[in-house]
Amino acid sequence: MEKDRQSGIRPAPRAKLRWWLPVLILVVLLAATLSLLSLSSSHESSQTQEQLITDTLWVKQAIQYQLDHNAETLQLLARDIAAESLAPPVVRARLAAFLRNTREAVWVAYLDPDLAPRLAVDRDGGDLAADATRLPDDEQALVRSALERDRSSSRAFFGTPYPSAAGPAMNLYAPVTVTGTAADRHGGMLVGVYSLGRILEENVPWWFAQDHEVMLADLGESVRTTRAPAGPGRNVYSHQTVLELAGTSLVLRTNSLKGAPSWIPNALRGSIAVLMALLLLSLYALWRDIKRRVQAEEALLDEAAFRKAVGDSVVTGLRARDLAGRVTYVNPAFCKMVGYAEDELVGKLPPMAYWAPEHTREYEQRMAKVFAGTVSEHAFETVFQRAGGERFPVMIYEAPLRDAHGKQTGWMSSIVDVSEQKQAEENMRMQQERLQNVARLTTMGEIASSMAHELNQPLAAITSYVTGTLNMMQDGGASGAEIRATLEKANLQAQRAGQVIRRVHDYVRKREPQRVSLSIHDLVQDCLPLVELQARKTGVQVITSAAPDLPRVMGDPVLLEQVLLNLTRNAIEAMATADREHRRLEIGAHAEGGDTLRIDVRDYGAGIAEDLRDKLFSAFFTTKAEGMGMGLSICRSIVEAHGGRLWFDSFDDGTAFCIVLPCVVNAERS
Amino acid sequence: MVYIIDDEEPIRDSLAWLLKSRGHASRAFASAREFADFMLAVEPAERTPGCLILDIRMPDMSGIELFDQMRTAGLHEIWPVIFLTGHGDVPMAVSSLKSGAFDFFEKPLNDNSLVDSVAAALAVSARHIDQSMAHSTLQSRLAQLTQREREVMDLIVAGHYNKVIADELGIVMRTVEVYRARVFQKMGVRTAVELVRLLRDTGD
Repeated sequence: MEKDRQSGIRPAPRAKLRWWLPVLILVVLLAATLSLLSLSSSHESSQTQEQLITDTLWVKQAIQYQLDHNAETLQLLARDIAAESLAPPVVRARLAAFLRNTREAVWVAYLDPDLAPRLAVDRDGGDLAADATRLPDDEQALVRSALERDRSSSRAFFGTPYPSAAGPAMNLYAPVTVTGTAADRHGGMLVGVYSLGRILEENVPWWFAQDHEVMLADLGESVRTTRAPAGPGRNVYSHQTVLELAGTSLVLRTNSLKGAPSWIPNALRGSIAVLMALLLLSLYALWRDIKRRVQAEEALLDEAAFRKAVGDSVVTGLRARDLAGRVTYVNPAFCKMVGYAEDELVGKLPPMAYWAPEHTREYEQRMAKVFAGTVSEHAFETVFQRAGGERFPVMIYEAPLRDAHGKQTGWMSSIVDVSEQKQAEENMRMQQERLQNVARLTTMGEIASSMAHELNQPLAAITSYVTGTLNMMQDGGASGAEIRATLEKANLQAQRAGQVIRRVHDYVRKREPQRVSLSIHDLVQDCLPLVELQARKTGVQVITSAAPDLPRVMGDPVLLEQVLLNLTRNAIEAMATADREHRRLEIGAHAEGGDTLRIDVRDYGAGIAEDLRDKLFSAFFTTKAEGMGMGLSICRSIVEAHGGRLWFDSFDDGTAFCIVLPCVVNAERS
Repeated sequence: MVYIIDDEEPIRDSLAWLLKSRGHASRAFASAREFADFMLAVEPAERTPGCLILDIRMPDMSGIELFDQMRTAGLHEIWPVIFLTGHGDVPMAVSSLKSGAFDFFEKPLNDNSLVDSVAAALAVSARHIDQSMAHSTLQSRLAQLTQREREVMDLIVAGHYNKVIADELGIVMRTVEVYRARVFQKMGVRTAVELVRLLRDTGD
């Protein structure tokens, strides 16, 4: 019991703390994840940026190297022309070779000092028309001013990019300076026309181009070309550098196609947020669920405590058994009733400590019936034994015990100790009997009293007459006539007394017994409840064997019932000191011959002492403290009044009282 | 005279016969009321010695009721009462005995002892009646005395001589002697000693 109470502890206040901890951990986790995410994101973008810068510089170098190399090549050619005065076919071949090696160039020409083309070769090796090689005016002005500025310079230089019909272009000039003359004579100019687009195409590697938009422009970015095979740059990772060439500078700008590492970290963040939210949600759900469980548990504990209080407080004994008959629960009232402690009962299999040994078979049969479900009513009466060996009658009510799924797990029985009730019934019955006795005695007393009074008068008169007469005769003072008259008066009084006696006798004889046809079987059955009531009190087993088809008997049912009850009561009382196992009362009836019927009331009691046998049927003889000694005498009178006989047979192990009654012959019965 | 009071004729008759056999006269009454009327009708002076044989159980007026009436009238000593009881009336009889009944007998009875008791009761009755007679005589004699004679008598009884009485009353010796003679005459005595004994025995 104590154990149960301890388990009923309420949730402690630290439960709140228990809930704060996971929330706190979650928040910390969230913060850590987000900061890590942001760190990694910035790390990634700086790495990307660095990579871009590296790559851009690489591209810049590649372009610069290529262009510088071209300038040198063309400058060498110009020098060769100036020094050797090469024949035009040779010049043309060299120019064509230059063009073959310089894939960025569109065409190349040898201009005379007036900038009119002497030779012009396009990429196909063909000659270009003169107007096709005409330089734009800005370029011509640039070239002329450059030539005028430094006639002796033979260094190749680049012009500023300009738009042309074939896209932005840029020219490489290599002056052909004829030395050895008085004044360095301007021997013309080699010009290579570059397409800015081609520069990019030829010098930017594909692996860079596919990820980046690359732009090449003049410093003012008025003329530019862009290479973006996979679409425009995103302006997230970009780098700009200046390409220093002889004569001009170009701007190289790369713009990565990669956007800011946007959606990946966002998805991460989002998923983390979603996960976190889900986590919180599930935590909340869990919390709510646990809260509900705790509530349910509390309710259950309350309910259990309530039920236990109910179980403890009721005075009815409660006992639960599983399907094997093992006791699984008993309440204090039951323990008190049978006088065993709870742990002496719980977990035990039959036979139970509280079973009275002589009733074991009855218990087992009934238990089998109850468990088989073949018993229709679940209330019955039986006898239990207290720890001290005392038997007491109980009323048992059985109800099936079911688990949460409705499956039967055993039986719950409530047991009511009806010994007090029985005692009360018994007391009531005895009271009733006593009252009847008193009533009878009172009636008898009244009869006796009035009888005594009525007899007193004549008797008193007689003695007075006689005494007076004797006195007279002694003195001799009276005449014979006087004495004679007196004696006659005395005689008259004696007759009067006789009349009184006769009247009382008549009164007593007034009630004539009833005579009806009756069945002994019914008679026995009618008596049985009363007999069993007495029998149960002393643990006597009652066995009847009166067939329903016995011949009928003419008689007074009330009187014959009294005879039977008297005999059975004697029998039960005779077994009060016998062993419990032997306490058996047999009531048998059978036809004897054709015209009589015999009823035996057999006990297995103490028997009748030899010296008492003769007196047994005499009136006012009794062996009982509260007896009147009328029972057997009256029984015999009643049986004899029915034309029958009553006697007894003594056995070693008891006594049988036998009644033989004449029965109705068949003709009369119909 | 024995007064038999019983509602049963055979009892009255047989008791009368029994008493007669021992020489006692009797008079029977069939009910208590009958006797009550009779006893109140008898003048005190005419009362003769007698006793009652009274049945306790009677219809109308019971023996006990009659006895109570007699006690009220002061007659239960003059005429002693012997109760006859049936069965079961013994406690009642005993209590009446305590309150002054003479005797009680249970029916059926030992008749001669009843008669003996009757004889004793009659003797008691006779003595009572004699005494009351003497008392009433004394009273009437005292009533005849004059005031002076009474004073003289008181002084004689007190044992004074004539001389002292004369001084006491302030009269002469001669006059005292005259009064003394008159007192003796009226009281029916001859000597002072007789006078003193009379007053002592029957006086109040």
